[in-house]
Amino acid sequence: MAASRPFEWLRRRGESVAQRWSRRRQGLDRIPLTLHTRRLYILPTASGLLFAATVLAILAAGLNYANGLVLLLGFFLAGTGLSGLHQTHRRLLGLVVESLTLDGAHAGSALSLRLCLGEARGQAADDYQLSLRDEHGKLLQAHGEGPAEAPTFTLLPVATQRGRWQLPPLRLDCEAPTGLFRCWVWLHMEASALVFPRPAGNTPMPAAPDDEGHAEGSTSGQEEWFALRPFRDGDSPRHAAWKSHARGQPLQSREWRGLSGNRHVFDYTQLAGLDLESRVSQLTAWVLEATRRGDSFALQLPGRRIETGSGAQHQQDCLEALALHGLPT
Amino acid sequence: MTVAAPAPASTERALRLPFAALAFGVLLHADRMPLWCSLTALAALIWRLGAGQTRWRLPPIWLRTILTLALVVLVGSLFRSLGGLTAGSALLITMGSLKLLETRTVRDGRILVGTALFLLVAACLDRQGLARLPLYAASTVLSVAALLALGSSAIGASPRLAVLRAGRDLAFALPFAIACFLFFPRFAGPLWGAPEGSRAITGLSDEMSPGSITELAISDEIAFRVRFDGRAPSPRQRYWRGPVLHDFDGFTWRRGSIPRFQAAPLAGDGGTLKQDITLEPNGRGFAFALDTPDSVEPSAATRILLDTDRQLRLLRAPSQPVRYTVFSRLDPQDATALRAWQRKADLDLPARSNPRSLALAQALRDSNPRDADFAQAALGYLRRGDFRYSLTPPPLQQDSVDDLLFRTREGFCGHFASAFALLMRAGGVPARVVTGYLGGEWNGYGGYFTVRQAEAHAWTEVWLEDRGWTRIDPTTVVQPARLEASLRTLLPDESFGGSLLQAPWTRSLFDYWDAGNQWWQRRVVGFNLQSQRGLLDRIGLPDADYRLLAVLCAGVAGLWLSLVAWRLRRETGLRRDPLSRAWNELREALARGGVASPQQAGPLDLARRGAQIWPDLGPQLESIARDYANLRYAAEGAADGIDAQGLRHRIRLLLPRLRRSTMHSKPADPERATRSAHR
Repeated sequence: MAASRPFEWLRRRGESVAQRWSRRRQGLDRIPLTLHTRRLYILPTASGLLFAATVLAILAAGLNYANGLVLLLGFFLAGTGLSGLHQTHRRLLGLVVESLTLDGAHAGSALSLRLCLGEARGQAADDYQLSLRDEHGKLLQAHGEGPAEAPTFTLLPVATQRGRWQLPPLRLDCEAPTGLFRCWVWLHMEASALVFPRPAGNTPMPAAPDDEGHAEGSTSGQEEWFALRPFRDGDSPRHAAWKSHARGQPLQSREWRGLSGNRHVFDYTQLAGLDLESRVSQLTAWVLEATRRGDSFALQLPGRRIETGSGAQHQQDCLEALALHGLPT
Repeated sequence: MTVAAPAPASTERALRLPFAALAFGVLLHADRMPLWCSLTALAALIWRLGAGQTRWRLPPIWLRTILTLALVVLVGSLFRSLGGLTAGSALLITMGSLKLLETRTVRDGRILVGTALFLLVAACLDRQGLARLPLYAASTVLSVAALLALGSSAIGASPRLAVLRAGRDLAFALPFAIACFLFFPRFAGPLWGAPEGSRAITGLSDEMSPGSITELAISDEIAFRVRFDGRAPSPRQRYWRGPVLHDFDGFTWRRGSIPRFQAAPLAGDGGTLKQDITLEPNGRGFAFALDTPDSVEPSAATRILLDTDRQLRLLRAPSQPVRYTVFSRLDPQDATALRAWQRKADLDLPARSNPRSLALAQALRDSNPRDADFAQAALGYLRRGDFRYSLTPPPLQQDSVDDLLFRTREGFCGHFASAFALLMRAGGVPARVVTGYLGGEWNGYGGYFTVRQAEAHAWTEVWLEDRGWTRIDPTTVVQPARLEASLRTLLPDESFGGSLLQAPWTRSLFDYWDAGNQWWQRRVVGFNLQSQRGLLDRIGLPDADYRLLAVLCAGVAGLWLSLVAWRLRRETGLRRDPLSRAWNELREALARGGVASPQQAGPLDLARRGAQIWPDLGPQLESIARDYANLRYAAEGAADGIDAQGLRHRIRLLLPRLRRSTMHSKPADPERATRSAHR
């Protein structure tokens, strides 16, 4: 949508006023949510206005030339347009917002928002459209996908700041089947996702204090893996559980922990000379790298310590702490 | 904000219907437009379709600009205007074709549909016959289908579905359209000019030379239709008066330039005959009525004049059938005296022409001093002179009357009228030629007379001091049967080339069709202010003004809209699964109570958490959830024995209890509800 279009700012302004008004009127929405008439709004589209002008011109010609045929045509078209109003409205009415999932991401990459509808009565899933305005005012839109009665939408808004990303109001609209009217509903759902810090920085990872010389991925007899998890791109092939794979199971990675892996302490205060965001980014990069290697590490933040551990859950805890560190809660 | 452009392939599919709608719109005009116009549209369509299918390149903007200018200039110069119905349609066709060449988006497609609709309107303004109705209906359905195809990708993918849906939507709109059509307030007269047609139409002209009427005699085209209010005239009285001709140059009769004024009503004893005439466009503004027209009923819709020649004229040549009401007298007495200049004009003879006829007239005049006797004598000459009535008389020389009377002795009505008028003038009796029609067929299905071009006729009127203008038809002297029978029965078949209309059964079929068409034209196409008044009178609203009508229209529209809503509710309600609706209501009730249901949570999960908040309802919740999960998600077989309807009923019974307890106690943990969407 070109922001340069005339009256774009006016339109946007009106939209945000209407949106806040609907928020006050409707309150906070909870899932599952059935769409009732009270919250559906409907207005003619630009094509609808053009069509109305066409019909008016036809009616004027019919009246002026006292031509019943033209008048009849005009009234038929007017009736069809008006029944289109109802049909568009019916496509949203009674619809159920079944679920909303919001997946976090690192700052600078896209969050994933998935909304599933149920009991839709459109002809096709892409009769519906979901949109939101991201923090920069950019409009993101997605057509529905999947079966016609249960469309799902995927939006990928990009968060630039780490921390808690609050879901902006969503708009679900439908122009089908005539395209002459747009019926829409605002969804004000309280949901948020964590935006992890952007991994960055090139300070070398602090060496493990007691495991000097323990090469990454060494095959010494001490190693002990403790859990299997699905193999992900980027995992070291050395850590793959080839034996179980050979028995016909899906490829898995062994997660390493404890004695055998390296132990690090990632300390916020060690990163002197960097500002807060750079430190957080650097720590994030270390956490990701260490987990990828299967090393154990502890994270020391001012006012918070996460004890030594490894694995996906540990990484998640660390990243959450980093995401929220230093932010007002 | 518009819908983001769908994938090109799906748009291309959806655009097929707008293309078809436009092509059909062009087709509606194809028989009236110059061939190049339709060919332009066809070429553009092929080009555009080719671009969609085989990646031909569409013309660049500079080429389109040049083409646009060229076509506008071409249309403007060929039709000598860009307004008017024909030129306007040509412009619509060419510009629509060019738009076709730059159609890429849904919005472009909608513009094509608009063009198709305007083409349809132009066609409706041009011709409204019943035979055209299926074409117009098809065009409407196609246009609406195109609109739907552009509005929804699923409909756009299947033209068949689009047409079906369009038919259904138009059927929905039918009651609305009819009610609005009947009650929408009408204008008394046009706000702007009527569209002008520009086609060659057969019919009488304002001059008559030997042979000119003969051309009409083989035309089956209808000139007008007459419905009598009350008694109808007998066959020998069915003279339909048209152009009156005064000037004769020895060969051709013309209207002349004598001044004509508005006519005053005639005197007479017989009373007047009221007739309702629907005139087909004749391109010249001539109107006809039973001889002799007395007065015209004033009408705002049709401006018509009755002049001192007792000739009816429309102020502008119509391109549509027009209706008017005329009162005629069968035995008129023209009270107005003939003025000197009128007498002079109607005695005028071309110098040095037809000398033998003049001598004949002089001889007859000498033995008959009274004007009426003289006229009778001249008729007697024609009767006894062994003249033959023929549709194909030999051509006449410059002195046409001499040639007819003394050489060929064979002629059609125009020949005899011309000769008789000349004889009268030569004898000093003012005479003029009247053209029009004689006859008319009764259409029993419709209750009206149909008068065709084939019944074109010419006769004379002579001025007799005691009676005024008196009709004398010399043709009936030569061929008396012409008065009673139509031309077809009088003349050999080969003159007509064996027309289909001669067989009795086709005749009857045609009458039936024509009656239907007339009903359509009168009741539907011509439904005007007067018809509306009549309808309102009949339904007991005699003094409804436009405000009441507007309220009536709005009321009907409102009623209809709620009917549509109800109909749609029924239609879509059937498709909803009642069990999943009940389950969703249960989920909502649980959510209000604090049990959020993220996507991952299955029914059993929900029930377990619900049981924590409503311990007393726990067992029921869990049994419902188990059954629902089995019905919905379990493999086939697991759901055997579970009654969906019973399950729904159980949910319905549980809902009020959940709601009641939610109202009394705040949810245990409001945070939990709002965290619904966190991962």
